[in-house]
Order: sequence, then structure tokens, then C-alpha cells
Amino acid sequence: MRNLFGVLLASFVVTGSAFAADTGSHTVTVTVSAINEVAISGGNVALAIDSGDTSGPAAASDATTADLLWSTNESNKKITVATNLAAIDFPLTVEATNVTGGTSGGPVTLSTTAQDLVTGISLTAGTADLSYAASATAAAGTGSNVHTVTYTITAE
Amino acid sequence: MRRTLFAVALGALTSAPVLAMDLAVTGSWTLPITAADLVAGAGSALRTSLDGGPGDVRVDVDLTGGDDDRWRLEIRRSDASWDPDLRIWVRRTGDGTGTGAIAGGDTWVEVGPTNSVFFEGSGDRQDVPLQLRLGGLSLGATPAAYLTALQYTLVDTP
Repeated sequence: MRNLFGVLLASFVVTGSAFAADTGSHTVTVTVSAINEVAISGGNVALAIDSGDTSGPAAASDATTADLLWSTNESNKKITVATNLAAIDFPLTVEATNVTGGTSGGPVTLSTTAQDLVTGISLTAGTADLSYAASATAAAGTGSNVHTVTYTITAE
Repeated sequence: MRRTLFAVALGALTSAPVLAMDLAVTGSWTLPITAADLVAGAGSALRTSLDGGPGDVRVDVDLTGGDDDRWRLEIRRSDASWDPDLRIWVRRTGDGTGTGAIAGGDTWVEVGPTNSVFFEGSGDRQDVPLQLRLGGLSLGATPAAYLTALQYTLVDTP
């Protein structure tokens, strides 16, 4: 009988020692904005055409001064290029070379209409060398054209 | 009869509900990602990890059975609309206040979808500050609001 009592007492004591738990929570919200950044590094480019003959246009080029840089977290982007100069005496072309994170569209003769320079840009950062070439004919005479060249990342 | 009545009374006393220790979690973390988070502007990737403030979230453990009443805090993530490449870490940046003890969790702990131990303690502790870290960020995370919930479980331990 005493043993039975001891068993009953032990069973009640064990039942009373439950391991409790409580919970709490909070949110984490990450808001990603559209990121479309393009920039030029290296500074201004100066091309001087100071020699040539009447057999054809003279030319000057620069492929080392300026680089094009971009970053985007969207798909199907391209970079276009345009000049602000409407009256151009000495044609100027630009080409994106050594492209990473996109595809070069080949040389573009600058005008005030935006033209594709680099295409196929998606969810990436990229770079390219900018290769400029200017030409002049004897008939164009002497002078200078100052271009402000604008690069724009936009939807394809 | 006397023994029977005593056993019933003793059973009634010891089977009364145990007062559970209480957990309170306050705060949240909202993180905007913009072009300012590029490592070096155009031509560069996004920073791969970003940290919140040292006390964006705070935890209180109360109603323990005294300074010797031990407990542990577990943590897990419950995703609502989340990029699978994004990762979350959490760490304790202070001990809070109170007469109890606290240990662990002062180095970064990655928060996954199942409970893992974050830190332990005994007795009441209030205002324990937590800091969060986001990792796995890249330009592959398209523009959107990504949402998850961090769930904390306080476990009374022997």
C-alpha cells in the first residue's frame, strides 16, 4: 500500500514539470529598385586631323581614352548613343570594343538620333572601350566640332 | 481514506498549470536596395552583404522561474515572397538588462527554414538587441519587394 502511494506521488510530480515554449516574430522586407546606371570613365576625347591629301578624307582616332561602364538589374537593355551637334562638318564615329556584359553593335556614325551601340544587356554589369574616329575632307575646310556625346541605357 | 484523500490533493496541486516564460520580439527590418548600393557605381556589382542597425530588433524574456531557470532561443525563417539567393544572418549585439544570464549568439548565425539555436540564458532578460545581415545580393535580384518573417521560439530547458 505504501509502495502504491509512492508510485502515485511520483506520477503526479513528474506530470507537473512540463517544458513550456513561447514564440515571437518580425518581418524582413527587402525592396529592390530598378537599377540602370551608365557612366564614362577617362574624360574628354580630343581628335586632331592635321595632315592628309586630296586623295581622300584624312582621319584621326582614339581608342584608349574613354571607357563605357554600366550596371542593370533588369533584362533586355541596350545602350544608345547620340550627339548634341546637329551640323557636323567632320563625321565622327564611335564603336564599343572589348565588350563584357553585352554585344557591340559595331561602329555608329553620330547624329542627334539615338542609335544602338551595345545590345543584349541583362542583369549584369559591363564595360567597353570606346573607339572614336573622325574624318575630314579637303572640301570641309578647317574648323572644329565640339560634341557632347550622350550614352543612355534603355529598354530594347 | 486519509492516504487516498492526501494523494488526490497532492495530485491536484502538482498538476496545476505551469506559468510559462514569456517571449516578446519588437522591431523589424526594412532594407531598400538602390543604385547607391553598387560597389563602385556603373560597371560594378551590388554589395554582396548589407547590415541593419545594431538594435533593429529587440527581445525580452520574462516570467521565468528565477535566475536559475534556463532557456534557449531558437530562430528560423518563414518566406513569403523571397529570392532564393538571398540569405539572412542575425547576431546579438548586447546582453540587454536583467538579473539573469545570457550566452552565445554574439557572432553571426545564418537563419534557415528550420529552427536552430540562436542563444541561451537563464532568468529574465529584457531589451536584448539584435542585428540582421542580408547576403547573397546581386544584380540578378530583379526589382521587387522580397518578404520573409523571422520566427523566434523560446524553449524552457532543464
